[in-house]
Amino acid sequence: MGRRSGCSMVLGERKNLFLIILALLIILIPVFLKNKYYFTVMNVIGLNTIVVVGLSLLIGFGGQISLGHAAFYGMGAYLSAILTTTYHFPPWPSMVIAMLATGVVAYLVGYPSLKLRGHYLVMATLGFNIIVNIFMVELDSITGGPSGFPGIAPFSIGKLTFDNDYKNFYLIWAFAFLSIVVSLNLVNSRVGRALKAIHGSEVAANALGINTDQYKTKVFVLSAMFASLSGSLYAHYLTFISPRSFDFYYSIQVVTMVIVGGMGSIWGAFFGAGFLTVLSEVLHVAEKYNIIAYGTLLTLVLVFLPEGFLVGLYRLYQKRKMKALIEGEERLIS
Amino acid sequence: MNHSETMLSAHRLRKAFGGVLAVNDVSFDVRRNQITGIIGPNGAGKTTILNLITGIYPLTSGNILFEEKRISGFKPFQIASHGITRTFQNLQVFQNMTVLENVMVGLHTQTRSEFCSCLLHLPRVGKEEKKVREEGYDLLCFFDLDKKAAWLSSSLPYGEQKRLEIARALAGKPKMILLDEPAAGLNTKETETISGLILKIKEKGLTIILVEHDMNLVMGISDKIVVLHYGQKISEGTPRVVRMDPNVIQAYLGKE
Amino acid sequence: MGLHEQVFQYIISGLTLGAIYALVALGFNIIHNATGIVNFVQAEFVTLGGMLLYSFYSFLKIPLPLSFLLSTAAVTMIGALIERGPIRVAKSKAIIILVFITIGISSTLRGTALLVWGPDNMPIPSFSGEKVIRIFGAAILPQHLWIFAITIGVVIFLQYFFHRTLTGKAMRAVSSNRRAASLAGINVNRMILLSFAMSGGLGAVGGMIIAPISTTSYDTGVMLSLKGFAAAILGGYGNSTGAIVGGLILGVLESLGAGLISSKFKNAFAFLILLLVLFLKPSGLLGHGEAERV
Repeated sequence: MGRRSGCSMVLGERKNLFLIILALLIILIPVFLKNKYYFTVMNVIGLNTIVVVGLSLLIGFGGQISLGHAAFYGMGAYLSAILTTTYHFPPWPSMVIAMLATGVVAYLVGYPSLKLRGHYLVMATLGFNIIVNIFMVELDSITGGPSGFPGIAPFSIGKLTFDNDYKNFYLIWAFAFLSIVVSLNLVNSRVGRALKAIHGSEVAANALGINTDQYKTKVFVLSAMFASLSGSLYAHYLTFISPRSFDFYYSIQVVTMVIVGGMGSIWGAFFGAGFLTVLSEVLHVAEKYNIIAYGTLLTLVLVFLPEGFLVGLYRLYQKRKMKALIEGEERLIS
Repeated sequence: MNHSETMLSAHRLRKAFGGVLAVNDVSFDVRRNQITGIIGPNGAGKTTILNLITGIYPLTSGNILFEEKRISGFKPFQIASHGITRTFQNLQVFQNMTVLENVMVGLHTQTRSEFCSCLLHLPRVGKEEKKVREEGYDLLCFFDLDKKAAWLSSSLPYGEQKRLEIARALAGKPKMILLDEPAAGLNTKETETISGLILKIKEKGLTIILVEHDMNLVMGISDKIVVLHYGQKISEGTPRVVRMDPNVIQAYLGKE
Repeated sequence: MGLHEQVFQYIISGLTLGAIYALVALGFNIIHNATGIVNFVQAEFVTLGGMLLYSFYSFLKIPLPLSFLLSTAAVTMIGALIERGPIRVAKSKAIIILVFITIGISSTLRGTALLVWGPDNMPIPSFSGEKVIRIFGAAILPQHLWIFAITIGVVIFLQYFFHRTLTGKAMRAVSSNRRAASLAGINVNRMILLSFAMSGGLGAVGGMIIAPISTTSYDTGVMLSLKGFAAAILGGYGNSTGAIVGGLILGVLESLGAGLISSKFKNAFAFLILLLVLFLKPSGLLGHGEAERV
């Protein structure tokens, strides 16, 4: 029997079932759970999920790596903050404007970079991230500088204001859920296949009529817009943002989440976001150990389970089962 | 509708890589619904010619007409949508996708859904998906690969992967298909299967350019053969004519 | 100081910085040429060079020349261990996975440095005092001379190594065509190991010679190595002359920019130049189009 692809092995074809379960969890958790701290963590998981799912489309399906998504996340946050606080725009349109602006910037950066080979894109996005971060710090009259931008109003639609953890939970997770649904739609479609094809063999994809430059750029812009959306929600949730949240270390963190969750899988991205956010929280208690733990975990997963945590462990488990079966049969024969 | 006899016309092609002239003043025609073989010793420039036709390399000079329209200078994805597809010498099957998915990618030019419609999963997307899946499956049946449709293509034996690549190239309903050493690495029986397959493809009305090392295969099924040596054309004609051309014999066996 | 003298001062400090970028860039090139990997651990090679020098020289009071050698040797060994360990053992040899493994190792080492030495700056005294020397109105520190001298020495050594020794030529063969090199009897794995070790040594030297006149803490190497990478790309990635030229030019441009335009955006200059190069001429100043699309 031939090997099935990793994700469908682990989850089977029952994606809709998982979506229903997720939706139920989202609706029911605030009814039963009241601990404020857990809500904060879950909200951060939700925010990270949006970024990581978008990034997963770029990395796992488009086959491109970006180490600059913190910049897009930050752009969403700062643009929303500035538009709503300094210019008194309402939050909804500000978020949309921020997404569009981020998309344009992503296009300008991505289009020339994506024509280059793999690691040049890594460096271009990294360089971009650093530049944007420096601008966040130095343009202090607009951004508030290194001490940050306080006093952001909570998100609101008309009379409905999302000003506590429970309400933000629903807001953030509604978007997180949407981002998963929309990404799954994309992945299981002609465009998703084209992206996987580009990842598999760019020259063959071109030879089959896929405009690879255009597709790579589009998925880059899309992933940037996901990050911007999440950044806007982040700004309204925390009501305070500072440049330090948007440095390239965050970019590395979100890429780690994609890789640990398993490249080429949207649910894997969700798992990666959840797992590593929780891990980060657990380690935050001993903040000194955060960096080394993250680094060691990333290294170990990449060295031994490059297909991702879940898929890798599942394959290991399958191998052990096969070995046991074979050894059992050999004993029967002899 | 263009029904002229000449499908592709290559005129005085030259391709230089730095100081090396890989293709030097090569001209030939490919006739509609025929199998044109391109042969020559290693390094003669055969794959380079294919890469020039499909737009992977830009021409240093010369031009290429397909159905009387100039295609030299087009990007590879544009050439594919004009109806020319190909297979690759070093097998470029999508190892990260299933057998069926590979063929479904082949149908890319026959479908339209773009980012926005796919993200939102508009009804037309669902209909298109169904169509693509069914057509892909039918094609796999023709190529006798349908039982392994859900297999990861990397787990197929080599010969079947080569067949899959051809199936994928055919999915987009091309007018012309370029086969780059389809029999490389295959044993005699597998080569016979490929040979029969190529003839079946010809029966469907396609025009075929075949680059090959296996002499029996090429001589056996080609309507016309172009012989290259050190980037230049040294012979052209039916297999019988080419087989007896002293230039060709000398190129393959070396000077006396 | 008149404008002329100011500019000359900026150029001098720019060249000093540039020398470090050049060393880091050379380190990047060696590994990339042998393996195709961008080695993010380069940052920690630089950091650890400085930190170990502090520990040996300032803390344990071991004489400077010996401390210098011990530190270089230690980081060289770390480089070798990284290749022998995670890189060699990695189940997937895909370049992007290996690059991210280096990112992971970089974080691990940085976290370790944080735990061992803490977050503070480790002061290291200049190698031979702080007496300012004046040349054409510009102030030059003895440390600047050390930086130039050692960098030139390293470059001459590398030149000799790669062109006159058998091992060096073997490494160049591996960069050029790995399969052919292995068929010719060269032990490719050993050459790759050597490339990591040498990168380690180069990074350490770079970190040590700048340590007295710059901050030395657990994450010093990050910015330096990223800019060193930018320098490598500026000069033409993979090209050793390019690395030196790129490093010096980048250092001078950054220094002039910070001095004459704005010091707040100092760090941004290097990356703006990087982006410009990548977008306009990815093969860099001296490159041959290696970076272009396949």
